[in-house]
Amino acid sequence: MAPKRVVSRSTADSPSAVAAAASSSASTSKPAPVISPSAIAKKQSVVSTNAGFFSSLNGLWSSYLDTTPKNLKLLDSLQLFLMLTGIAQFVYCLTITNYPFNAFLGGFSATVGQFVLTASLRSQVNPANKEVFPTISPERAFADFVFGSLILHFFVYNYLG
Amino acid sequence: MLLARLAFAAVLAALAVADYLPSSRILVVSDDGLELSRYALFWSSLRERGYDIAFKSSKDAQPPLRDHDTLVFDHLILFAPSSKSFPPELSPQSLYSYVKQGANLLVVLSPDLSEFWRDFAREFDIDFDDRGHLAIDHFTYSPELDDGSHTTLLIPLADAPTPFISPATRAGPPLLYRGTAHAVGRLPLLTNILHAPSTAYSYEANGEDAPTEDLYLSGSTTGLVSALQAKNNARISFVGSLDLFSDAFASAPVSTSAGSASVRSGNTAFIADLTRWTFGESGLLRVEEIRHARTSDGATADLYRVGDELVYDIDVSALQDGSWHPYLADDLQLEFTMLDPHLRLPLTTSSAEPTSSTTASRFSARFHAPDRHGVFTFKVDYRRAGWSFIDEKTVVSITPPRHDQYERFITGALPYYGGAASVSVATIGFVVLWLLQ
Repeated sequence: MAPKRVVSRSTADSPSAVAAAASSSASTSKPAPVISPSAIAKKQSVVSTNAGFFSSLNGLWSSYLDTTPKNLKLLDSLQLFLMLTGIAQFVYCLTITNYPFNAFLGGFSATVGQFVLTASLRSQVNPANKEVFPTISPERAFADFVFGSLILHFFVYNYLG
Repeated sequence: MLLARLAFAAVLAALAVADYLPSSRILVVSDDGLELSRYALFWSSLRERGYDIAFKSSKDAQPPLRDHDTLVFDHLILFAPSSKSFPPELSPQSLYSYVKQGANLLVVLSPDLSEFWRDFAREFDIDFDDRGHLAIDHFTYSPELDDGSHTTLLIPLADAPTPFISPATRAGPPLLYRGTAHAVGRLPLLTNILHAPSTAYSYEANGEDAPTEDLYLSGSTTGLVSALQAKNNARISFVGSLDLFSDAFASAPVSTSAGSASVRSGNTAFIADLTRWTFGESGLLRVEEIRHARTSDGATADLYRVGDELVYDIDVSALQDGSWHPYLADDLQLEFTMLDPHLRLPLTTSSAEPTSSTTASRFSARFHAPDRHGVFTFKVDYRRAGWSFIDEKTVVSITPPRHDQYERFITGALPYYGGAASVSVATIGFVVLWLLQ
């Protein structure tokens, strides 16, 4: 929230910034607010910033949908799923029971470990990182991922009890 | 050859018969001048109960009380209050080792008791009053038998303690008593069976002097009959009156309350109860059966697991009034000990569970084995005045669960199992989708 406020003040103060904000929120049909007396300027600026924030989120989402390759989207959905599962188990452990603790360790570390493996696979197959991993082909990265997953699951199921 | 075999069989049969006989040999040691015929009813009542009685004067050379490790006489009645010295067979040391081997003593004293007996009784925390002192009561003497000194006391038996004196005797006529009194100490093994009424005191009975100095014994602290059960269940009774056993007292009429018809005194019944208790015919507790098991499958084992629910049963019967009865009590306790008692539980009777026999009552306790492994002991240590002691120990081991005996899948951990499984499913699904694209 705090950075947004900073932005809103700057928009209220300078007309060029207001124009920039208005142009960025292209989807809104409202005309850009004209500079007004300072009493009403604050209220209007809050409205315009909220709109700007959501519109920027929308922009981020649409650009993610447009520009991200399909295989990275698949990886991202897996990572989201792992994160939610891990959080659910951690909340269960905190609020209800951690007995047997080994089962908690097994279940929770499965999500964490798989998340880490997925993150490494994602960074290695991302075309934007080609210069960072010049020697690792996507096939090699996927094979590493499968090998690491097998080892991880071996330990996880031993821990579960 | 055949003859020899027959003879051998006959000897065996005789031994077997001898085994079934009750402990039945009594040695009576009496003062030199004591007229034993005055107590004929007492001797005949003992003989009727199956005892062999041998009489010896305290001056005579005594037969040995024991022959190496076997008792020659099972019980000893000492009717020798005024004897000052005894042959070595009856020295305090040999009486001690005699009792230690399980023999019973009935020590009958009188106002002219010797220092020997005073010392002997002191070893049992019983302190007899001075020589020549008698228990005197000017309110509860027997008008028929008393010579004016008010020393022939009429003692009601209503509050005599329970395993010693039977209920029938307690409800019966009062007892005639003429003799010395004693102070009863605090030895836990010692029980006062009979004490004088609250109006009594112990003093010289010349009939003229009223006591002028402080009395050693007065009121209900004036002990008349006391008994001690040693830790090996041997029994020693001290009676301060020879006359209590006499035919004259046993057959004397007493008037229980004003106006009622006079009945014979309660002496015969009291003597019968006292000798029964002293010679181990009553007040015995017997453990019929001990059982311990796991409640889950009812199996008895030497090894139990930490946390197992265990049940412990003990069947106890009591010998009272000549036969074995179920013993009824609510104060038995079970200890489950390893060095210290980890658990001390009340043992309760349950009528629902069948006992091993109809003469025993079953006491049981249920508990979970403590969360501690080691060698534990089921221990029932029951000591009550007048009853023979129960000291039963059963050793079992408590072990932790074996590696494969822990609970495997726990419902509380289902989210964790589900979490791990969902990760696997998601990963496999991802791999398939990745390869398909």
